[in-house]
Amino acid sequence: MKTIATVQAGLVGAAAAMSLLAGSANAEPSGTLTIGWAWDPGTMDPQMHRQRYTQIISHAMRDKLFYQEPPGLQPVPLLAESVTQLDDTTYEVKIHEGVLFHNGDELTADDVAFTFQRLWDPATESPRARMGNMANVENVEVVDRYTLRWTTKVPFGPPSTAVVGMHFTGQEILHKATYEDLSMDEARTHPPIGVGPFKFVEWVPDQRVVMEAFEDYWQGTPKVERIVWRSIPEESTRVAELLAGSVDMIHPVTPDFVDQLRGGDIKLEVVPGTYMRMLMMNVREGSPFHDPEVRRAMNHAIDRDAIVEYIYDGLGVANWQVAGSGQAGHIDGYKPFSYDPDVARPVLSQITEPIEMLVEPEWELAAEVVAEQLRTYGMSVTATVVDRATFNATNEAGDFDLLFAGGGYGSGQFTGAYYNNHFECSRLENDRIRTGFCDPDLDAKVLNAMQTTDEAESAALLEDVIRDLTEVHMPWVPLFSPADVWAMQPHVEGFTGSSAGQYFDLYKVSVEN
Amino acid sequence: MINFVLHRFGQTLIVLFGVTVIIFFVLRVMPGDPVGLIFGEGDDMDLGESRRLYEEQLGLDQPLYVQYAKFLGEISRGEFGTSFVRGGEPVIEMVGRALPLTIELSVFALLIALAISVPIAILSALKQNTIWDRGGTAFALIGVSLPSFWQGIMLIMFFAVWAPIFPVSGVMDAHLRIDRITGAPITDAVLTGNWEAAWSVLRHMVLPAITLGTGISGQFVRVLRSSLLEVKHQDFIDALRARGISEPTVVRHMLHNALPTTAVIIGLRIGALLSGTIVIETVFAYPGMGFLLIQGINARDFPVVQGVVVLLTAMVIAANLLADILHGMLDPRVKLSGGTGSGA
Repeated sequence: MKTIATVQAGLVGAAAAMSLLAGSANAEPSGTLTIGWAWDPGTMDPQMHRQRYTQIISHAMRDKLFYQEPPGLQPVPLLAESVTQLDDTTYEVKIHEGVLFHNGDELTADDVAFTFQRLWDPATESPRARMGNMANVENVEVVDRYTLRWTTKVPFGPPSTAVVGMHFTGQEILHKATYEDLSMDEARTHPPIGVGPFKFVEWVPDQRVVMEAFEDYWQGTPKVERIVWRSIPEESTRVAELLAGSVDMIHPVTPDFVDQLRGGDIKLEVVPGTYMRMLMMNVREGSPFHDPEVRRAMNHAIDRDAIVEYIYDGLGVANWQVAGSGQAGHIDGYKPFSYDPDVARPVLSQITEPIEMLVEPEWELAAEVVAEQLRTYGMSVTATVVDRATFNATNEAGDFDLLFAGGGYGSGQFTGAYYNNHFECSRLENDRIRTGFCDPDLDAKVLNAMQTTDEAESAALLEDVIRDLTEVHMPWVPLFSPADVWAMQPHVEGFTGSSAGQYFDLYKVSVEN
Repeated sequence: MINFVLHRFGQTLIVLFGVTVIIFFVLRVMPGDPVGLIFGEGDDMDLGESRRLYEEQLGLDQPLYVQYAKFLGEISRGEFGTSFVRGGEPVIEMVGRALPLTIELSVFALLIALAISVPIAILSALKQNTIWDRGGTAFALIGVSLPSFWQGIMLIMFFAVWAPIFPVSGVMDAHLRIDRITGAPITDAVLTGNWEAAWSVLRHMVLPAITLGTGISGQFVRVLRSSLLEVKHQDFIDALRARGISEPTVVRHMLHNALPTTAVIIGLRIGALLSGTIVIETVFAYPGMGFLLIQGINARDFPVVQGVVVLLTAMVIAANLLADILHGMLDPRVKLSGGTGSGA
């Protein structure tokens, strides 16, 4: 029987108790934090979207069972006190007692069970219903007021990985008594009721969402009294708002504006991003990249450090392996290739046919640099800019020579959805060709890594997979991961950016305005 | 007149039908699918199956002619379906929020354009071939040529960041509320006597309206100036002056005669005004129809794009029709009749 979170939960509980004590002694929440960001949530129903930004708004008002504590990616208990694996396919979850909803009701196991049952219910038609590995979850049942039991159709592995597969890090908990009586249309705009640090005040679509501090928040009273999320899609306008002092924080910030912001009193919060850029190579027969020696030469051919330094102003990290920084399976210090033109040139100079490299507009400059580097070896490489929808369609169809692509790992996992989407043979059956790579032996190894309850064995298997993909099969040239950047006024204190691009822990932020 | 309006109404239906065909099929022919964009890289173990299920839910697995028939059915009921990405929000609600904002911004921009262009055109016409005239012509050229995106950003930098006279973007200050009556913020604020909110909305609207207004004022200057020059050399103007009529009165008569052509041009420029909002509303985070259209296109939110395009088309046609009718009313030489459109 394996248990996760007892120790961490203890810490969380202690921290909560301390926060509560401190909160009772400290001043009332004060000030308004105005965040200028690119989006509008679109809906207040946390189960009817697929957008990270909608989830961020929701999470500020509704806690989850687990979350990814900033700045890292690994799941940490939040509402869950512990998760215990009873057998290969059964997990018992205990939640904290005494956690209050915004309307004063106490959080119970019924609310948690209802949340997940509503998500899976085909009548809900939730686009999130199968996130993680939820398609393989059998059931959730209430054991007692604070205990639930999950059963799965296949082994989900140790609790540390199972909580991601069961979507504990992705699903905010609903207030059953409110949502069981709402139609789907009503739920879209109904004022959210959760156990999060902030209470809903108003949502003016495409303009702003306003929240206020929930003074009975179980982890302690938030420091800031109000949060205003303003929708400002155009980045130059967001930057102008920050420079004019009319917003306290903006996100996202691209390297194009970093220099301008660094010149003033603006603070930057920079954390490693979870969106790795890589050069996908078409490994299918007939492609010049079918030959592993060509792919090996490609991995030696590109100077990633120069791209990060000169194009991204140092705001990112160079990648030399298929698992990104902070992602499960990432091997610290593992760098099987080096930038070595002398190794790359003899092989790549033999490729005489024209090579087209597709890229989305926002990555054009970096792609041009990569194309130029490849041209120095005598290759005839053209970077062609296409819109995102065209890019995705081409990626799926595998109809390319080279793709200046990206892979997001906000969940922090490598096995599961990430491996399935990029490498697992089963994706080919769904016409998701991508590089065309497939190795059933590797799939079997990943399945073992996912299902074994022995964490050491799982880690060893995963390391094998990363090494095999990186230096044996080489369907990618891993390039770099741009950092996630927030810019804020000097009076904003206590904000920690999350590699998952989230705004966790907003209740710790204070402002003086 | 009635025949003319009925005839134009029939033409309008044909044009709208054509637009529904074009926009529906162009969206489907464009590479990339909305579900692919919604799901992205995905965090699902079996992303292909998740996407397939969602396509079914959205009806995107149906043959195109079935989807098109459904779209036409919705339009005939005054609906435009539901958004793919906003949790199933009805498009008609989104349009209902955005349209009053765009109308108010466009009217304000039109007033600014007229306020700029009428004096310049009069000055240019009265002082033909002088430095005033050349200055007016240069202004018209600059107004027509300036990229509105760049102009918007420059106005923001000058008048909101370096000299913080106006707000950078948005509709009004976040702490203010307006009770909704028409959905148009200034109108509602005035109707409810909420002067603080009205002032806030007005201040937020100045920079986008100037950006939008200067773009079309250049065109107005050119048309009004040439109309005034035409009138200026007519005999009745000489007769007025010979009778000792004061110059302001002469100018009033000139304007009265130049107005019909200008009214038509204003009507025809409504399309340019509305298309201008697409860029300007995005720059100024002003959530009108242009903003909605850009968001819809980026997300391949077919129902939103379809709804906005059909409605904007209907608005442009209606504006042109109004301009024709107005032309007929202002200029007695113009006879409106069915089947032949407007003619002298």
